[in-house]
Amino acid sequence: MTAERIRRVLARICSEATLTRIVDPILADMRWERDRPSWLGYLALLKALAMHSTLSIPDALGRAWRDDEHAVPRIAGLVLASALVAAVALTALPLTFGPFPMKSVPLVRLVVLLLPQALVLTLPAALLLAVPVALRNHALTRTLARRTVAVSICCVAATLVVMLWMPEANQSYRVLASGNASLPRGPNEWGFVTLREQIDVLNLTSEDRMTPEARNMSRRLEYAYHVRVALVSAPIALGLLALGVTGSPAGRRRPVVAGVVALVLYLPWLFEISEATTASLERFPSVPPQVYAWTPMLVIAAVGLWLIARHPPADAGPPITETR
Amino acid sequence: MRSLHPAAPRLSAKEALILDLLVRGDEAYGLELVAASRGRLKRGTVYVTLGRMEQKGYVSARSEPSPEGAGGLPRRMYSATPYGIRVMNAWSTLLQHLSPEHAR
Repeated sequence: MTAERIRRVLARICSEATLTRIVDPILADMRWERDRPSWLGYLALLKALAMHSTLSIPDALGRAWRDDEHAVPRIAGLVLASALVAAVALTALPLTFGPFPMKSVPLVRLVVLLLPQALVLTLPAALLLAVPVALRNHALTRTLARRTVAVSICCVAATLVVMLWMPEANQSYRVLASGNASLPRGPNEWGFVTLREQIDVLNLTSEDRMTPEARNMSRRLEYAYHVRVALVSAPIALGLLALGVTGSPAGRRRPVVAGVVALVLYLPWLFEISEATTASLERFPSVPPQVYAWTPMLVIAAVGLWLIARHPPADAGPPITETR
Repeated sequence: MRSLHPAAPRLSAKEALILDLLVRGDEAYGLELVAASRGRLKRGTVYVTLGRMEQKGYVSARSEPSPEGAGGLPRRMYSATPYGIRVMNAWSTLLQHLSPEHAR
């Protein structure tokens, strides 16, 4: 009975070939094995599936690369290109045209130091433009949607790397701007670990003995910490929204316009939310800072899922594990 | 093995062992091969190797009809294909030629 139930579950995620060649033979052979405990058979099944999935990765990656006229590498390329262009524009334009006193420092160096700060915003946001544009001539299938989510997950990894680099780059920029090599770091120049430690130190004081300033500082740091984590996971939410926009009738008709509109609405909305949150953190002390930090991304993900549910991808596509 | 033609059939040690066992006997199911290999094949990997050998055309498989009244999935019986046997023979000849004894 357990074997049948396991097969039914695996039938939902494995391809027909995997079922026939891996799952069924193992489950069938287990029936004839009376002298050994059945869990050994299930362990063998688990091991076989893990090995099969690992061996299938090169094939699956190759297929993902080639299929739909290289749609997946086009998404990845467009994300990188548009994120970089937007980040350079966000950092270079104010430095070039704004009132800036450091004329002796090369502009390229300053841009590089400010780039991580901009990239953590533009890298996830670039998905909103890249997905509709890259998929403009393709029917949005479930396979393509799954692969787009996989690209979003890769963007999460890239955003995390940039986020880890950001505090150090910020500090270098501040030192360069101030000319003071021993300038103490502020919250934006603390890494994840230091930020967490500072919050924990503030929270050591019991709630009733904490000064209002210390409480506010603790809430602000908690918010900053969770915003960073939320920004790292933002590509998932924005990837879902991008898929929703791509599959919508407007996204089908005018993908470039839909992508640009989504992007133009998203970035100012994020800045507005950030400003409103900073004010609300002090005004509503009963609302946990985590709620403020995560709500925007959860709203975006919910809108994306709602759009996808309204205009679902075309077909079932091949299952997760697949032999040739 | 870089000197081999990319399209030339290759045989891993496990695949060679499975083909050897199948050629010596008649047809066999996965656990039978594990038992016959005296610990050289593991039950967690034998089915994956058999699946890939089936893809390459080295072995063929058929479902064994279940006995009357027996429920559940039928066992999958494997046998070496003529192509698989040819590859095995060619491979063992190649290895013989490359062995140090042969070089002397």
